[in-house]
Amino acid sequence: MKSHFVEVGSYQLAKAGQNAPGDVFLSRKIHESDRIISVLSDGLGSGIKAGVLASLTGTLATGCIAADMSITKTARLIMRSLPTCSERKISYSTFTIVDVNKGQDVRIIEYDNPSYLLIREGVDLEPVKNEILVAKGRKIGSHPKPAILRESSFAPRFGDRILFFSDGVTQSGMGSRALPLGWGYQGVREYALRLIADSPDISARELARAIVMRAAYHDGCTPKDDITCGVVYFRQARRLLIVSGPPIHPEDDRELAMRFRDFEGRKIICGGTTANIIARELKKSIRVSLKVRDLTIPPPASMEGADLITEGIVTLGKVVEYLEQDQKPELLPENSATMILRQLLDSDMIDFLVGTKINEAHQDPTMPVELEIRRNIIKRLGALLEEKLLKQVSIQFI
Amino acid sequence: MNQVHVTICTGTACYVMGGADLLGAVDILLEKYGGRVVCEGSTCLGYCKLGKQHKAPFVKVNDRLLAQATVESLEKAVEEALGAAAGDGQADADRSGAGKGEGVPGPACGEADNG
Repeated sequence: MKSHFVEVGSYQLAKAGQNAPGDVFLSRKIHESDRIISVLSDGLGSGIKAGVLASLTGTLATGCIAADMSITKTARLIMRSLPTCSERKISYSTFTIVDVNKGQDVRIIEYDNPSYLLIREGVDLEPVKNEILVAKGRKIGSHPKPAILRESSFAPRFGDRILFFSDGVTQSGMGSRALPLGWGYQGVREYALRLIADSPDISARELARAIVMRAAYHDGCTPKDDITCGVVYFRQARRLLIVSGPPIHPEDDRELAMRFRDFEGRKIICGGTTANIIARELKKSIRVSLKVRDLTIPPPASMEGADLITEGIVTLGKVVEYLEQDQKPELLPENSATMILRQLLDSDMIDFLVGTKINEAHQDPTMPVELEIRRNIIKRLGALLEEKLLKQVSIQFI
Repeated sequence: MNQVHVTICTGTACYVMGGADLLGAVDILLEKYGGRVVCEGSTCLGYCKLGKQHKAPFVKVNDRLLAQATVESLEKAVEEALGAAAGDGQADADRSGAGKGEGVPGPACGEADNG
């Protein structure tokens, strides 16, 4: 079953009053073996100290699992590597590891996080879980009880969703009149099923965000703990084409326009001259919107057959900046770069078609900002999309 | 009624050389002249590629090209165009015997066609 795409999305809110979250969600794509390893780790306590524990756990877990180390060895390594809390005299961090191999096999290893949810065709399934006992601590006798890890595996089907979350989700609202015992696993389960029933195509990121926001709502919008949710979604790939830059030879203008027209998926043009070429070849007209104004990013435009048209270099540079800073589109000002970011996040396979003609006007040394070469920006953007967001990226030059 | 068409280039060179400020002039022009001025945005008009004697940002006021445009130079050019248009309009009105007491329509700005 390789026809579907594996989308990984997550959302997180830190405990109110803490500058850094104590939960960590990490995801890594291993190209050589076509694997995606995602880890949600919850460090003891909250804030920086918990964040360090969780980061160590997440990084070790992804590294060890990627290197095919056994679960027992991985868990033991994690437990023995974590620094001991000076107050509580224990080292502790929970984790859930989701290992998707070639999109065909899923293996999940859990340690003390709330159990994951597997949702298939609108109902949740409970795969069989094997218990693995791992001795804790460096010294014999320091931790009398072994850690109990749970391992399960299954073959994913088209449309499957795996939801995993920290206890900040299940314990949200605890002590409140409405939810004295907290939201609970069943509450999360019912809410997730209802969300999927209402929006069958909801993306991994949107689903994770909805669950986290609901949990925060239970806490009166001031999270009492770090709240994190990760979602892995097996589905039809959503394709996006970004065309940027005029072809180096004008005789290729027609080909550029035809490839744009014939692409099946969403389409963005980044660059005014590029847009003018495509509009000319396809006999369309472009409308620039003056309603979206931003002092640093030129306004967007529209054309029949295109989902979005923006200026090129400055806007793409801003998109790279947003991605580098892990910005969330819903918290950004509405401008062309935010619009592109939103489209990128909602796509799985992103094709760049890049014209390599250099605009001499951009090389003017009197320009107040230094404009980068287009192909360099696109390469950086492609790398960020692959590494940070696990998107499937292709870049073609024309 | 003769309208003055203002086309502001929103291409890269124009935008970074001060074109962003010109978008602010849209509100000023609309407030001052109402529907007598139609403001449009445009993808790169291509003037930046013509050589060093042509400096961004560029704005077109009817068929007149403004290089190194500023809010002030744009306002001045619009005033001049309106003056010329008013002269033409008055001549037309004199010929037809109409043209007085005409209402000013609301703002015509927002999105503009740029084929």
